Amino acid sequence: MLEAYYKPASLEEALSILDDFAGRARVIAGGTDLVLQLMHKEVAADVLVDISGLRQLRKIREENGRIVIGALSTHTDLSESSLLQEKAPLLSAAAGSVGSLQIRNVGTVGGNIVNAQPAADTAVALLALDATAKVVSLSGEKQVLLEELYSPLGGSNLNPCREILTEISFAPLSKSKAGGAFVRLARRKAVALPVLNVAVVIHSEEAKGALTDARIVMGPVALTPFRARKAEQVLRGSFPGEESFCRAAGLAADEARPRDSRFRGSAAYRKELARVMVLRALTIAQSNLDGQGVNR
Amino acid sequence: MSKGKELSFTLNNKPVTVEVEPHTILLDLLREKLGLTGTKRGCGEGECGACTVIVNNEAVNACLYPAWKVENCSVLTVEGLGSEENLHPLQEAFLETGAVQCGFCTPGMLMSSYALLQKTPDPDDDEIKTALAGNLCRCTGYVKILEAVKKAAYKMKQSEVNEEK
Amino acid sequence: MKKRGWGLGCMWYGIGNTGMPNPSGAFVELLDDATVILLTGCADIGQGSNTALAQIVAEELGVALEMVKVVSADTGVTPDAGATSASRQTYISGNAVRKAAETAKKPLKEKAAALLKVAEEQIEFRDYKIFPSFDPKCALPLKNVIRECRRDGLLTLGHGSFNPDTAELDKESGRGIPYATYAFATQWAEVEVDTETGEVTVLKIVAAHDVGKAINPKAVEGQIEGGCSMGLGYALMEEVILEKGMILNPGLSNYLIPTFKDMPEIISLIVEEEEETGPFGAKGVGEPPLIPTAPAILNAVSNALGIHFTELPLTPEKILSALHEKNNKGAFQEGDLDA
Ligand SMILES: Cc1cc2nc3c(=O)[nH]c(=O)nc-3n(C[C@H](O)[C@H](O)[C@H](O)COP(=O)(O)OP(=O)(O)OC[C@H]3O[C@@H](n4cnc5c(N)ncnc54)[C@H](O)[C@@H]3O)c2cc1C
Ligand code: FES
Ligand code: FES
Repeated sequence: MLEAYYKPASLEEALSILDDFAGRARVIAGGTDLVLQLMHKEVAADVLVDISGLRQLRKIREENGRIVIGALSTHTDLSESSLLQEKAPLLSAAAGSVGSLQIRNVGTVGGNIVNAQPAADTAVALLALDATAKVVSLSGEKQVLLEELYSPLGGSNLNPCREILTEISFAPLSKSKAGGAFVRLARRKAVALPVLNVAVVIHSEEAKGALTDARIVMGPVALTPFRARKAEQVLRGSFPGEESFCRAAGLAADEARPRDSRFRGSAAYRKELARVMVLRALTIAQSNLDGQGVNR
Repeated sequence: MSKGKELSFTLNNKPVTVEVEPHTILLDLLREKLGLTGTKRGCGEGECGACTVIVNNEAVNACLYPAWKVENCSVLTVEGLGSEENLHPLQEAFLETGAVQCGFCTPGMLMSSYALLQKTPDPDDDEIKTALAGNLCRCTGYVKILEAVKKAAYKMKQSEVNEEK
Repeated sequence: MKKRGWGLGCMWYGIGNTGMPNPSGAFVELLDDATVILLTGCADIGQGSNTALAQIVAEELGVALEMVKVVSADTGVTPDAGATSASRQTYISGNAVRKAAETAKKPLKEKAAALLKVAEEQIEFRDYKIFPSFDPKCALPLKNVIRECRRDGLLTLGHGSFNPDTAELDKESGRGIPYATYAFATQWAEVEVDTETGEVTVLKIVAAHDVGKAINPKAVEGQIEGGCSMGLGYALMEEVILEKGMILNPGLSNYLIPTFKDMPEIISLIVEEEEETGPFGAKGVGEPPLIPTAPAILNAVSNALGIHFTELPLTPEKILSALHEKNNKGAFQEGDLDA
């Protein structure tokens, strides 16, 4: 049973309340994950520090050539953002695919990351965008690669009893030099966790030229969102097209380690899905890069 | 020991102040403490939308919503939508089209539809389906609910036109 | 690749409990001001029986629907109407309330026949009037005739009951008369199948249902549309997953039912082939709509892929697995389960 519910007016106040309770207090944002976890006693907390009133942590902006998203921005904010629709459409698509409108209105991108589910939709897209996270605690502020927030055994390296994720940033997908895509399959057409989701971003210096970089992220096929590094590796330096994409998709499926699930299906099925969906995502990303696609 | 504190907010356009404990969920505050049982508990886990209420113009699941979040906010429940004597156009449209069967999903459907029409007065089918996808209905197959929302949108537009005249 | 397919599902379904008595009873009273009180044990769980039964009574007594006050499913005061199950209430309780209304109007009929000097069989009730069927112009106001009855110390109240004509099934042969009447239906589904993921999208359902007589067409459509959504869930996603007798998916987060986005356009076609033994010709429509949906959808998938499926729910994995088998790539095998 909770002892107290705080609604601090500033980040400093939030951090000092967390500090006062020395591990017994925990950050809550939208609560769409945490409330159930508390009810089911999967997470223990005596005190909640609700940071959703910190307006400065709810923003989506372009600053110094990077897109900066406040951790308290909701999935609705992300999916409706015209900035993201233009410069990182895979992220707005991923946010738009989360749960229901009621969940998207309340659930935040920060919570999606810190909750650290292997198929968290916006986190998967942000990892493909090579995002950086800003984490603040009483001992100061640090910028870390989003990837580094994940513990290899699953879960987050960020400690919500001490630290607050304040913002996420990444380079926008520059026109005709980068293309991205987010694809997802679920057991029904809305309000369903993904059986598999895939986000890809590819880069190229010139039209139809060799790819200079590629990131392929998917879930849930491991304990954390999974980067298909071998597949990325073969794409770097190769020319985009059916041949290289098929090879990359095959490798990505080989690398993925889904487990059999009574709900999501057999590992064999989801490996095949990984192949199909990585291929699809790469194809869409390429047409976005070429400026032909609907860019999503 | 958890201790209650006074929480103030606007509920169905009226100010309320009520003692609320730290762990209280908005749905329980509404149903158990304030006696507003129009808002339903279906699943209690964010899946069905029967508990949908509107907080500051946005539809949320009251079953997952810590009550303390509504401090100084404006909350609208189905009780604030219309009264038996003076139904809201959405309620009229739901009745007229036969969009209500067992009625368990109806308060949530109404609130999600209300939030949609506030934001998008003239929604297309896809926009309605997206806005209401988080509201499950076991009875209707959603067909008449879709019809009802469109009819309500039309009614609301008409009454605006009439007011302007 | 996306492939389209079309499929049909047909069904017939017995109305009422199988080969056993399942009676229903009702009380009707017509008050001085033509208000009608209807007592029925029938539980309205959303299917609209309170309205349909009131409509039947209103039609029988020739008064407006608003005049009928329904007291239903209150074991303290209402007679037994049996369960709201077996698609039976419109047919069985519908007959019971109609008979109760007939009994309630008996004294009025006698009184009116005497006043109008015609035979009782020639008396009709409509629009708050009582008149000889051959000469509607010389009508008596209903309320006046009620007053005449009261003057004689006669109340206008009645009870009625109905039990469908069935015969117990022979234990050896299974022969007998299981149901007094049957509903018939055909549904048609159009689907799109993604041949690389196995995902199915239902694009349209057309559902034609013989309901005898649609007492309330809007409610009948509601039953058809709702049944189609249950049938679609049954076809594609609904499954109670058991392990050692325990249900692994007891909540709505794991037991998935169709959302708004899963449902296609549904075109309901109401077929009215009058049932002689039904109230105003009506039968039942509660369960029938969900029966042919899954066969129609599975047949549509089969039509799209050339593979016959016999297992529900037809998940994307089952479809892709069958496609791989067909193309000699081997079906998916499960290893350890981590559910
Ligand atoms: C019905 C339903 C459907 C869902 N569907 C999806 C889906 O399709 N896809 C998907 O990805 N997710 C889904 N979710 C999960 C959930 O909505 C998201 O993960 C959401 O983004 C969580 O954000 P929140 O603000 O609600 O987090 P909270 O519940 O408030 O917090 C989650 C965790 O993160 C910590 N935390 C939150 N914010 C911060 C911060 N800024 N700094 C430090 N720690 C923080 C909290 O302490 C807690 O441990 C669904 C949930 C429900 C109930
Ligand atoms: S009760 Fe809240 S979503 Fe079901
Ligand atoms: S009317 Fe019964 S659940 Fe929607």
